[in-house]
Amino acid sequence: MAFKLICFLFLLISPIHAETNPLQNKKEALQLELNLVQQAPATYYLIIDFTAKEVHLKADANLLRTCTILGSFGIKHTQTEELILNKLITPQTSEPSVISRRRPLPLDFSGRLTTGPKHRSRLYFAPTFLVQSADLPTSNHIPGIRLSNPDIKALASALVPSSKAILIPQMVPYGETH
Amino acid sequence: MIVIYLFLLFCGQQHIAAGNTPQAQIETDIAQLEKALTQHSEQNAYVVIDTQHNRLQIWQNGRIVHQATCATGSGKVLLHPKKQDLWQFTTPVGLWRVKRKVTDPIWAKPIWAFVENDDTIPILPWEFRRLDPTTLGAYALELGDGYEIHGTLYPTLLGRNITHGCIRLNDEDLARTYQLIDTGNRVYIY
Repeated sequence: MAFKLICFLFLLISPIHAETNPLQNKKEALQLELNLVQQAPATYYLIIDFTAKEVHLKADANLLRTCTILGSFGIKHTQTEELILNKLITPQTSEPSVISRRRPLPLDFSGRLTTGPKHRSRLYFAPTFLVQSADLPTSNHIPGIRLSNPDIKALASALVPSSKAILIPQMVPYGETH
Repeated sequence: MIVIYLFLLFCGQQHIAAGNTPQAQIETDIAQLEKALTQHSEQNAYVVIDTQHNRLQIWQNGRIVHQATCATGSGKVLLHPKKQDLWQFTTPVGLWRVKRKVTDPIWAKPIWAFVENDDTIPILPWEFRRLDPTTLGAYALELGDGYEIHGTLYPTLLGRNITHGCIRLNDEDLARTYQLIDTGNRVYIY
């Protein structure tokens, strides 16, 4: 009898594990997006959708921009994950604050230059994930995606450190309805 | 043990009979989440402005209904020669709402407009030479803090970052935007 009971329970539970992964990922992504919209209205966030090979810039569940993923690198994700933008990495170098100068240099534009987003940039998310320009070198040790230069410049303009992204692995058709 | 077995069997059959399999349950949850997200999203038309590429789009029901080339903030800095004031001409990023729609707007020139042209600065805020009825075009959509979507006298400069922070459009695109967007509608700038 105990054996039958165990068999029954196994049969009852087994379909959940066998079938939930793709839809479960989609559900988790939608749940994360809903939480994001409720907790931080009017903030920009990304949906990185490997299935559709697209990145959506959104705010308040409204679509603002769609970027095509030109390529990916590093370890592939298998689960839906929430990422947080850690920093924007650009080619421009800023002078370290520890350096103190006695007088301004001949071409000292400190504080006068507009240091806006650049075409060749990287968006570094935590846990480690890079969204970067297509023509920048990549590493197999760090997962990430490559986007066109105009898309990177636009995303770098929209997002600030602590902006969030929802990563959907390559399994589920997502975002078809909204 | 038999009783437990029968109870579980009964529960399982009820579960399946109701079409409430785990798979079906997840699909129901997904439908509910999608509905909740739709309720949060904007039902009216909204404006999206890309300041990096000077593109304005009007979205409605998940699709672009109009798009145009615009001009946005230059990012330049202007210094007041005497008071050491500083203005930076950037278009502010974030969510804005259309506060007011105006036809035939008159621009009340701020101090920086005189500083920029090396003119003498009017002392009184209501001086006549502050008022400019031609620069803003036929319509203006006010976003607040002095920022507006308005027309231009220099349509050949559209597509560039040359403004003092406002968003400029040509006459046709401005008229269309004025027609499609109502007071209170959202304007996303990035």
